[in-house]
Amino acid sequence: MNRPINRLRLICKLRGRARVRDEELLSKLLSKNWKIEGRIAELDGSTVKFLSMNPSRDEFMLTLNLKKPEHLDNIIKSIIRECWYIDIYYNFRGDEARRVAEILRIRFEEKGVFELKLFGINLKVSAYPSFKTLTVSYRIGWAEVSKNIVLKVHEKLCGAPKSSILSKIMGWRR
Amino acid sequence: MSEEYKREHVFGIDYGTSDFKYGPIALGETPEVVENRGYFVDKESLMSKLMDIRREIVVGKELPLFLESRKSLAERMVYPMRNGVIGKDDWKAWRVVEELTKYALNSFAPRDEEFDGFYLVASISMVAPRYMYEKLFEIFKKMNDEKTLVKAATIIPQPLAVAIAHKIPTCVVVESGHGNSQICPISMYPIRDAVLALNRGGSSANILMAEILKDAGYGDLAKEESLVRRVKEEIGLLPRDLDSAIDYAKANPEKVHARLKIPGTRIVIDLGEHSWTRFLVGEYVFNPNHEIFQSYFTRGMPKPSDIKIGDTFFYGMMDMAEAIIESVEKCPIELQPHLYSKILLSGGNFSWKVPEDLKEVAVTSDLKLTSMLHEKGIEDIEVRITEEPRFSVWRGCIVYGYAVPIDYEWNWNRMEGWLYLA
Repeated sequence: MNRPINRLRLICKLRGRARVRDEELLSKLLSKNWKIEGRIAELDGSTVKFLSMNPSRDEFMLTLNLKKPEHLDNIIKSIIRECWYIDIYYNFRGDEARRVAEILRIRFEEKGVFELKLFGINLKVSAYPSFKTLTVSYRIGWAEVSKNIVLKVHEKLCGAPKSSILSKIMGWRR
Repeated sequence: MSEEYKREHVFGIDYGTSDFKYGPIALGETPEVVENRGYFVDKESLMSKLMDIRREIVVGKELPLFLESRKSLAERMVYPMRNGVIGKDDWKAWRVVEELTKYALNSFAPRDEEFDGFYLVASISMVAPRYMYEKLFEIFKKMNDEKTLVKAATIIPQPLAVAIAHKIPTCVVVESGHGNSQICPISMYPIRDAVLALNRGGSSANILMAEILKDAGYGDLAKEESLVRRVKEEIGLLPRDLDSAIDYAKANPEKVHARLKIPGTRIVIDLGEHSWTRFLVGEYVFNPNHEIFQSYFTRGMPKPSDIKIGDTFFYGMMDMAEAIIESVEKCPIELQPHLYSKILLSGGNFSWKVPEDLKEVAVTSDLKLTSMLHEKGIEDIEVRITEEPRFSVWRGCIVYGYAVPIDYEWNWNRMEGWLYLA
């Protein structure tokens, strides 16, 4: 995967109430290699932006702009330690939306919500063909993270890096 | 109804003066955009009857398919939010708002049985009077006549949405759209007494662009507003200093030469020896007081006038830095340095291109305002253009909708919370 994935949003349900200020949350959750400035973290061109915390301070929203799929894996593995679950939302537009619909074998001709299984997890897919928009979301907990499901789904949706051994084994092509 | 349901079904609408930005939280960072306008179809015409066009009004992406002659454009096209405020009895404008709202919600309403309406966050001008809030809630309620589209709704002022999107509780938001510009100091909440409005926005620059096109021999094209706007966006420039930019342009005509082909048509616009006027377009938005604009006023171009709409006074000719200073100086002295240290520029009117080879003389909006404020003796300023300024209000709507709990009900005194409509 050579192009950035910049339409990814995470909603993370904490195990308890956040006890740090919003600006400190990313430093608390992400691994040391991320360079963090307040609400924005950066690693090799990938960025994580803290968008909002809910008023009961047990759920927060992040938006991601990733250069490498392994950064997603890195983020999820760091965050899930503090969370019950994470909801991952992808948003695809234009040709990307059509491509992902084909991968998921979804009719991209009329508006609809589809539920399907991929690598054992439930994906919810919302298709808005008149806007050439497709949203894919799913929920993961520790069990799914430990099985590396996130990276598998990500590579299925966004394509695997050319050098990825996983892509070679699975024979995924873009 | 759970927080989780709400989180999946937050829907943002930014009723901009020119563009209408809309979409659910699932769209990520970029909303859908259509022009904030509606076209009243001539239902009595023979063609309408032959083609079985039953709609009274057309909005959205298919609107251009219904357009008739240029003359009818002026008569039948309605831009409801031209200056951010709709007259209480302007039924045509309210009909367009209603139709656009329905168009937006219907476009994204899921068909599954679990869907029980969106949590709609709408954003309107800071200077919108209370009756606009009442009228909008009425419209949102009407959306549920056929099927439930709006579970609950809330309305926030556009500058507040920008501050929310950027999570900056103390700042000055300058929101400059098509019809006007709003300067709003925020310290947790908007400081309403200090809000200042300018009767100048992207449309003022369009008017000047049209004059420039006329001077360059394109008088026929200058009548088509959307084309003029496009030309402005493609070739208009914001000068660091207008006099120096004009000198530069006259000394380096080839570097500032403006030529634009309109895709899908045979139209090519070449400003030729008038190319130096590209710099006037941006300057006019920030400071229309330069003597060079006098020649346009004398030839009949309307001068941005001071007007009063509702209780709000819109200044026509005040320069943008002066407006910021005047607004900030209405706030407590202790707060003023904090406000100057975070000035957020939002709205499509701040998206000025800086071509690589014109960096010496053309600048972005943040640099322009910083230099204007410095000239007026203000120090320790940080002016920032919001990321994708056109969409920051919509993004703020989404973040606000996500954050406001479902049990926080609308309160007319505080003007916040959810008003349940279904």
